[in-house]
Amino acid sequence: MIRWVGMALAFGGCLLLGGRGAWRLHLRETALRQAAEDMEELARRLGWNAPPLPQLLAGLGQGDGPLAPACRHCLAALEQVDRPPFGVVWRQGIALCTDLPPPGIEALEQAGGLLGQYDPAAQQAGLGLLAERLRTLAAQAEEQRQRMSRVYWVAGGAAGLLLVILLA
Amino acid sequence: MEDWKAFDQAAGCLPGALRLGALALPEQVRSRCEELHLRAGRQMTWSDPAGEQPVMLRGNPLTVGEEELRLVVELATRSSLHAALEGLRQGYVTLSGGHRLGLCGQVATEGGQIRGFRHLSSADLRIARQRQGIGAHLLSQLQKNGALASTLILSPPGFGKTTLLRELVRTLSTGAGALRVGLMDQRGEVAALCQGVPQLDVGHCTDVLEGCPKGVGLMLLLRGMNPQVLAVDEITAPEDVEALMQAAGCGVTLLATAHGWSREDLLRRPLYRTLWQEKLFSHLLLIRMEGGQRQYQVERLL
Repeated sequence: MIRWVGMALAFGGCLLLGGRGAWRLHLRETALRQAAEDMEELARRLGWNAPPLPQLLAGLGQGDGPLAPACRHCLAALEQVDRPPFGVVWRQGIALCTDLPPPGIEALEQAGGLLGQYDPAAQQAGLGLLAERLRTLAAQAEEQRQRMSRVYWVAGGAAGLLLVILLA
Repeated sequence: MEDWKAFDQAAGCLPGALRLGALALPEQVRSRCEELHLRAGRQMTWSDPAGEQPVMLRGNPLTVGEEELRLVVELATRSSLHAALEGLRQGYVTLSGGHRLGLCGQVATEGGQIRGFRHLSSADLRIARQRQGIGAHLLSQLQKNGALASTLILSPPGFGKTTLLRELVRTLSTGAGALRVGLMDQRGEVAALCQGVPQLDVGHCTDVLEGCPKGVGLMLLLRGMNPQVLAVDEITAPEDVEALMQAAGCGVTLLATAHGWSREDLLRRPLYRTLWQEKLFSHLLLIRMEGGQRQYQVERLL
């Protein structure tokens, strides 16, 4: 009886490991889509009344989206007297967004050079392009998820079966 | 706010060593310093009516770099150049507390309008202070038929026009018999609103409109706030004069400031000649500097 339970647990564990890999791909894709929406939201707010950065970033900082850690970091830094230029602060913040894959982080780092510049319209245009880039990355991530999640599930199941055979 | 505290607040927009140098100045100097001057590749200096002196940190002069000037603007605008664009196009940023950071350098223009600064070469941090008590005795001289007369405050830049206007407004709208004052504070230097609350005392019965062009703002104040006195800082454009003439026709008393040395100086300039011809102001309040001290002189025009 104990052996059967052990085999079931081993199989379930391997399957879960495969599922976890697939779930992480799903999270990456969702984070990229959400980040694209956040960029569009920032562009909308800039177009509406061009608020100062602390006000602009406050909304995203309060949420639990993928950019929330970056916004919270920037909001805290903007209150400091001794701080580096905003571009550096933003890059430090983006590095805290662990839900995002490296290409997303790389793309988002560019926003640090856009936000807070002279022309709100140019900022809006730049954020719009960034949102497009993130959507492209999200589409690639979706494709990868569809392809790889099956691989993860099958690999997890196969490893589980192998373990069951070995235990049997 | 004590004089040195105003200085410390303004110096908060300086980065690293520059701030440390400014804050290391003796309290007596911080109390009387009116401006801090930052010029790329040169020493940071402070000035009062007597002149400019270098700011030293541990015995060494502080040389300003262009990167530091950029950081000053970043700190002053909280990294939001777009939110301070109107002021930047006119070469200044107003800081929390009403302090003003004037800027110079190579500008990028479009259609004859400044889009931004390519390179910064100088910044001038002017410290805003309250001088409570200086307006009370002047108000008694600004009367006509028992009521406050429309008055133009005149002096060259840096002589304290804005400070005097703030004090006159505060005195007028405080205490028994206070008047309702509509304050058109386009640059945010007179009242320095922060989330709607004036950071500098402009009295209990003063309604402040900030950031709005004077032409639009004066009419808005007249229609919406029913002021008895309209106060406006720095008449510099024909639209400002036009708006003042419209407001004067509505029966309110005007308090305004302008750059100039004297009555003759006003008459020479076409912009102010109109004010003169239309008899908008019945008194002229001149600020002079004698031996490092400000002297106030009232002249009747009508």
